[in-house]
Amino acid sequence: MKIRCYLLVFALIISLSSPRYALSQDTTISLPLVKGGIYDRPYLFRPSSRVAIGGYAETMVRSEYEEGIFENVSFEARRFNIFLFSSISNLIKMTSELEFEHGTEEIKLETALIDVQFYEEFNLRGGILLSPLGKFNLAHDSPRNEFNDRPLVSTTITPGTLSEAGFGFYGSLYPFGDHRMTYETYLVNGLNDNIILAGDGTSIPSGRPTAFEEDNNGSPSFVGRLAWMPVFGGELGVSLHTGLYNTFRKEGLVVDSKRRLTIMVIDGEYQWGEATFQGEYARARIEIPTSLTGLFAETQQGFYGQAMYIVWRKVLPMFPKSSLSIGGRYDYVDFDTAVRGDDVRRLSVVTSLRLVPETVLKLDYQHSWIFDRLNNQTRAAVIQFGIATYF
Amino acid sequence: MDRDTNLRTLFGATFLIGIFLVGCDTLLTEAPKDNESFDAPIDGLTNAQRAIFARGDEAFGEVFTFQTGLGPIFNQASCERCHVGDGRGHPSVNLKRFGRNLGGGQFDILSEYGGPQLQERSMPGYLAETIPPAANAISERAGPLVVGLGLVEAIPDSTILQYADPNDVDGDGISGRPNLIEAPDFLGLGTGPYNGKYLGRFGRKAGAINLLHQTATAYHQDIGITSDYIPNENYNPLAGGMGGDPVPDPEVSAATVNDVVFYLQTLREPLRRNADDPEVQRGGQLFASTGCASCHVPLMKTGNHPIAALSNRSVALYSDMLLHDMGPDLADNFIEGEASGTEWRTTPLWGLGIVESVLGGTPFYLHDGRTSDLRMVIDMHKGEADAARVAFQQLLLSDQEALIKFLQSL
Repeated sequence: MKIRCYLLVFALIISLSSPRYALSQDTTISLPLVKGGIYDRPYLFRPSSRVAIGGYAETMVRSEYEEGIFENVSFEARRFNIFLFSSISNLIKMTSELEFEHGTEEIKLETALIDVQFYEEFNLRGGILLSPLGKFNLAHDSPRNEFNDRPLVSTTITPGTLSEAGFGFYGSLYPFGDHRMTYETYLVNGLNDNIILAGDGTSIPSGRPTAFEEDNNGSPSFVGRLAWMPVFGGELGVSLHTGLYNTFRKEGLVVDSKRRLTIMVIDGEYQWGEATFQGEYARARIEIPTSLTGLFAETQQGFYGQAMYIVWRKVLPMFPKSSLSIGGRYDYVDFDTAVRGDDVRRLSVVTSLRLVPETVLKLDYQHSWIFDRLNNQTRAAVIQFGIATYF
Repeated sequence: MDRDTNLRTLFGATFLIGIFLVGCDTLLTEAPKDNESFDAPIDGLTNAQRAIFARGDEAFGEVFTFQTGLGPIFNQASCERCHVGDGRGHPSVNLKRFGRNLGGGQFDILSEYGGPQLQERSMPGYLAETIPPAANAISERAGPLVVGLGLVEAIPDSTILQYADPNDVDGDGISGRPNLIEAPDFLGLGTGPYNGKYLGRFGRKAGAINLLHQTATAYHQDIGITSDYIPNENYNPLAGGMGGDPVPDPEVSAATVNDVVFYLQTLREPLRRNADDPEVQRGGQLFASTGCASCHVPLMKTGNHPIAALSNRSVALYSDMLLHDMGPDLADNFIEGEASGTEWRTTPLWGLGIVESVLGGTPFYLHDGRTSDLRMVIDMHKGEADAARVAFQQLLLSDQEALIKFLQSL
């Protein structure tokens, strides 16, 4: 029933779509669907053939302190990601991303999707796709970010990076004059039982699919994002991910109650002169077995707010496009809204130096206040220096 | 600015920021004071012993998941959930034991209903336990402090037994007696010296003989983790069948359990605060003169122990490690070993003044954490402690405050 309604809505969109926006010549859409997203990466702007290869690398050194104890200094080869793009025809594209995290500790096919671009308003996408759940999940490449670490809410409540196998539609609309609106809606396999089976209490990231195979419960989840760009440089987005996550049926037998995971995200971004502001709020509702009530969280939420300011352009003469930025971010995540504690607050400040637009050096400092379920506080600090670059 | 000036400014600023961060304790977090936390090792350990301590610390904090063996029925997912920061447990994580007191010292642990311990949580798709209507004894218990336990273990039996007076021969109204426990096979102890039994020391009713007994049992009963010592899964008999979690048993090795035992043995005892304060010292004298010290024996001495740092040490635990009838207010009607439904092992008082540091800022006292008020704690001391309670209540208010100040310095 859900799938039929979904298809009906998009049949309606197709019928209302105007062919004047149909792509006919370019291999890429001139205005990317998502700023910083998979079609807004540098390697795509220098194609010499129908296939483009690119990627990014990120490495860093990190020093950690907790409750006055110096924990360690460690060097991390955090990510090495390879992009592969192919334009099969003018209107059919394939793009993929293979991620090596911490060397070969985790190798993951993060994206492998096929786009069939009918109209600007309506396109078909299928494969392993980045779930449109918050802006950060869609535009998370390390060289784009001025901070070494990703926002907490975008890795815990919104379990970034979240890739799922599925099918769906996306497009851009202009319902209010020049104000652009984009949408992405997909049916996907969704997350799995590991949300409660594999983590320290309720852990949404643990439920991310690791193998893109048969759904654990045969019940697709819905994920979608609607973004509105009322002014140039500004964007507001609303996302939703909802679906049954647990294995309630095996071999045709009902073996458990159905339990739903719903994540709602609101994100915003605004660029004003040399300043950029970003933020994201996420709230998750997780149905859990009654025998785990009080121990596992049923509701989690969090947000981050971040401001960056370019204080100095042409910092280094040998890099005429270099720029120096300073910024700050505040993170808050409540891992269980039913208890007073179980939350993390983090303040981060950063100085970043972009040598060229694709390469950034980052020096940042984090101070975290970590509260356990009884509200006992632990303080932790991190100083880290990293370099990230597209190639 | 020319190129060199730019570079100098940039690197200079980076250097200054680095120096500022590294040099500032506040920014890089500060350690709690030595006498305001629980989780330090005892002095005198060798490097090799500290390495075991660190492994044990890690295992103590490990949060089990259903994929690493948690359950099928359990109370909490890690040791630390009941002993946060190695301190006392919060009432929200109390565990319950149940059974049927048949009178005349007879007790049915209701094993057919999953007794004696209630595992109120279960893995998804499995049935958790509930307290059956047949139970007339329900004992709710908060996790005790887990520091200084190696010193407690190292006190010779003879030192503890010298305080026993089961028939109250001296007529002081206090008749402490040991809880004598049969050793389970996995301890490999054989027949004990006291009618085949051993002196119980650990747990609210001294139901565990040593830290290995306590630890292996807690893994099994509280977390649902099997070990080389207790390799069979704990099932809810009412769930039917023997289905359990998907992890092969044993779920942790003897080596891991032994590391945790070592960790518990070598966690330092709490250090006192304000011991030189005249008011605290006066409170200490009142503690003795009111009779509190008859059961809460201030000082014992350890004997020889394989861990040299535990040998021949003075131990200011403020307990005689014996069972006492505490009267009706504290009774749980639950019989454990030789401990009756009104008897409890004298709780060591060390660390009393800093328990709130691991309980979110609020102290919770007594075996079930029912109160945060030390006066109320004393008011509930009846039975063998009746005379001491009355003596406290007859003190001038300023003297009562001095005595409480003394307790908070422990």
